[in-house]
Amino acid sequence: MSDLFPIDLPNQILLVMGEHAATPWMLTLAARLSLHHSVRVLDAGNRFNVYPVARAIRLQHHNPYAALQRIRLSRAFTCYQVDTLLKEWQGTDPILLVFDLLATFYDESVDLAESQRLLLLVLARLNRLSQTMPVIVSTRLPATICAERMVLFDLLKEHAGEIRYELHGEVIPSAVQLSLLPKEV
Amino acid sequence: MINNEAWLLDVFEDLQCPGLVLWFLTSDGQRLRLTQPFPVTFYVAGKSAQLREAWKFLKEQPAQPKLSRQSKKDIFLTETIDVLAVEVNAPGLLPRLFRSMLNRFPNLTYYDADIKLPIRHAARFNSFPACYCALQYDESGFLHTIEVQNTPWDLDPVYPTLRVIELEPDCDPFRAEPRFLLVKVDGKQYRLSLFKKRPLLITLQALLKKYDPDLLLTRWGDTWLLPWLSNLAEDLQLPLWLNREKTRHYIQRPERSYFSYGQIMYNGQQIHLFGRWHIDRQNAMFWRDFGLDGILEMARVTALPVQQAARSSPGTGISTMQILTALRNDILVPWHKQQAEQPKTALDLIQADLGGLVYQPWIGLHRDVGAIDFISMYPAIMVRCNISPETGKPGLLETSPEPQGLIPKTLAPLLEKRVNLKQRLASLPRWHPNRKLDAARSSAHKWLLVTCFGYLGYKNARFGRIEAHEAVTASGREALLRAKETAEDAGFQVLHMYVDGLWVQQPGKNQPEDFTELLSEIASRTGLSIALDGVYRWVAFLPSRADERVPVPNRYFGVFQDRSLKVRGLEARRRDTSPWVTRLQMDLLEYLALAEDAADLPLYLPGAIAILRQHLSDLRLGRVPLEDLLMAYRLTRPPQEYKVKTAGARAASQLAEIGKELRPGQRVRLLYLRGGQVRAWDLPQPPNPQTIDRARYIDLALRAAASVFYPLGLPEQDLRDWLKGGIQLAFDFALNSQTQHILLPPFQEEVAWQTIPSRIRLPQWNG
Repeated sequence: MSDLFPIDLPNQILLVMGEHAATPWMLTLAARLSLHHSVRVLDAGNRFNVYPVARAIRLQHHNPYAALQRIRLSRAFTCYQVDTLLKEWQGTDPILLVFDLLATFYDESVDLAESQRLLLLVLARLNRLSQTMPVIVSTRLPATICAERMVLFDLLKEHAGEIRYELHGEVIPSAVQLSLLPKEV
Repeated sequence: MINNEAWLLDVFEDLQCPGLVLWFLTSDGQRLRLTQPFPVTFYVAGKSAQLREAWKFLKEQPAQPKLSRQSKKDIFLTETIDVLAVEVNAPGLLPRLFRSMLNRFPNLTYYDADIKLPIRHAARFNSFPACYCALQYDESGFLHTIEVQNTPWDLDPVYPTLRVIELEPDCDPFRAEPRFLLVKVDGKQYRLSLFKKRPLLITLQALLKKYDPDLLLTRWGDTWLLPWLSNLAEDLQLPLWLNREKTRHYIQRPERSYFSYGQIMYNGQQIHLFGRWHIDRQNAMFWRDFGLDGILEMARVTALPVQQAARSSPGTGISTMQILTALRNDILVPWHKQQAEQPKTALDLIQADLGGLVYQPWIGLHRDVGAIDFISMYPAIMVRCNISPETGKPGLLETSPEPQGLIPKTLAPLLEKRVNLKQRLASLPRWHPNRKLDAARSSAHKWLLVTCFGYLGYKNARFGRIEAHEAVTASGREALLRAKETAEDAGFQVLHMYVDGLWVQQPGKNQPEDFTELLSEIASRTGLSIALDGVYRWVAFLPSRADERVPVPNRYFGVFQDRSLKVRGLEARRRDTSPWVTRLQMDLLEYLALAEDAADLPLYLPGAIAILRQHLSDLRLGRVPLEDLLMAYRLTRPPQEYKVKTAGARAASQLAEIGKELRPGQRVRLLYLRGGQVRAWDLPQPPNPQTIDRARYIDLALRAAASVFYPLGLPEQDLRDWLKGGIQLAFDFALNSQTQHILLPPFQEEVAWQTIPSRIRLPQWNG
């Protein structure tokens, strides 16, 4: 993670792969970036858990209130919403993090051809954005029950400038459970 | 012209001429088939140039739709929008026309494009399954007018008397080859050999013809029986009128696995009939919860066809109700939701997206505890605070001056009906014949109302909005906090709070009337209805298994004043627990429930220990039927894809080897065998009882028993040590800060065993 600061991130689509769509790594990245920069997050897989982000910020001895205010996010629950969010986004933030991009495209209730059409639109929008800023996209492979949607993953891979595998993502320390009970005798 | 009155049974597309076929059951018992013209419309929005192109395209289509420009309301937009209205006379042509439009113009926005015909009919004529209608039709069966005479919200609807044929094979066809078909009709039972195929079909056809049932109630009808019978009839070229509409083949919907709230689910294949209903009890989602009465109620209030209501999730029901409200209020129904969440900072998110409030329970045993619940809290908040995608964010628990939004408009009558039904149910004596019916209907309402909140945030909800979802939970937390403060102001101690319920205690308050004042004060401070679930003689809140200092919300058991039990979060409530372990745990609880007062519980411990010992002895002596040892695990993926070969994966692999493939979301039943082996229950050869891993089952039994004994002061390890022998049970029983040392010599068990009621002493398999 330490080699991945905003200054080092090129203007391209960086695809991050891993279990749970490399969420721990992405959350840590969001926390690190928010210490000094505003960050735009598009959460397409309901992955953005603020608590570990706040803890990671605090671990750096920063004020989490200020840093968390620098992260602006929107959640999308359908692939149509992913497209709408990117279409409407003004592109004023210096960096874009997309969590679990393909989650909604893997949704079996949307026709595969329709998912493909929308993904191409979304990738075109991400490509355009990546001309001016780093775009970090996390993803995972489709589940077995929608294995035919592997084509979507391949499509995304084709559009990525670089691929990073976070198989053992940095684990954010979990909160210590504070006991309200008296110490054991 | 003929005038008649009848109940509506079925609505579907007419394949002969444009319009609908409707089947009715008349007040004089006739089954009536009518047809009705029924043009349908969908709408298209987009840029003017694109709409002009679409207009040209549609003009050239063979369906010859009627086109017009209209102004309509999209709920997510403040102003009305101009849309292209596309109307077709033959409803069956709409899906194909819509598909071709979608292929040609994928970037246009579509509305009302995929609404099922019965729902459109319900929107236009206020119809619903089994509604009572005044009809005017001519000799040819052409329906001129239909006026629905009742509403889904009647508390005591008059139902038609349905003719029912029950069909089921003599065993589970996925476990063994069935040999007979069991038929029940008109009080008679038939047992037809499945090997004498021609006589079977002839008899069945004769029964169908003679009784002309409105409902085929089957077991495995969806997944095995009806397709098997239909194929047989085709092979032997014999008639078999499964449908009342004889020219139609049944609809076969394929099995599927899908994700729902992160969990993998499975739906078996479905067989839907025309002109009569088919319900497969094995495949009906809530058959065990509320049976046919609840299914009919679900169909009434949602307007979903009965066959669909029986197999759909409550989410589909709620979504359909919302679509119906939209159609009736001239609001466009988006084909899919596009509007996304407005950007918010992570700080806003952490403050807004908190879910329900939980106040961890005080671990241990408590006597005289009142359990109070807000009645359908989230739906009530949605109605009271007017929370809907198109309305402004309300203040916490505040009413809204805005016109009623789509969601509250949908929920208000359902909520009112549930409250009225619940109140009536509470006043009916236990013997009253209407209790079962009211309970089934109330249960159907409960599931719909439970789901409606989640649907605000659900991915495929047409009228969902995540901000509305958050607003509901915010008011829910506020309501619970106000309730807590009210209880504490009145001198109660709050032992536990869980989203919409509180457990409160005050010495000397142990009768329902002791809580009346508190309830009305909470209702006044929150504006929400709240009711007493009951007063516990005693209730035990359990800790985590991993750390006994950590309480677990919603894991408890207790005994109400009327000796009825309430159990949550224990092994007996889990679907993967074997029936034998469930029975053991419930026997222990039912026995302890005999204690008049929590302080008397130590007196019941010898008996409880004796019950445990008896169950374990039954297992050791091979007196427990193998069916009662079955575990049932849900598969989350195909068996070959499990990295760690779980018991479920290994059993599923055994079935796959003999060609029985299970899909993700299905449950696999298995037995634990010695040597760490498992055996799938649905393998053809019966397992050898000698190979059962008794030690494993004893371990599971002791875990379940320990959950019951823990709050009485008996730790799991002591129980295990006692079982190994050589120690005497001695432990501390704690109640209300008073501790009593208990010593349990074995002879006490023997004495207690003689006093245990026979319904607990006699194992289920013996009687």
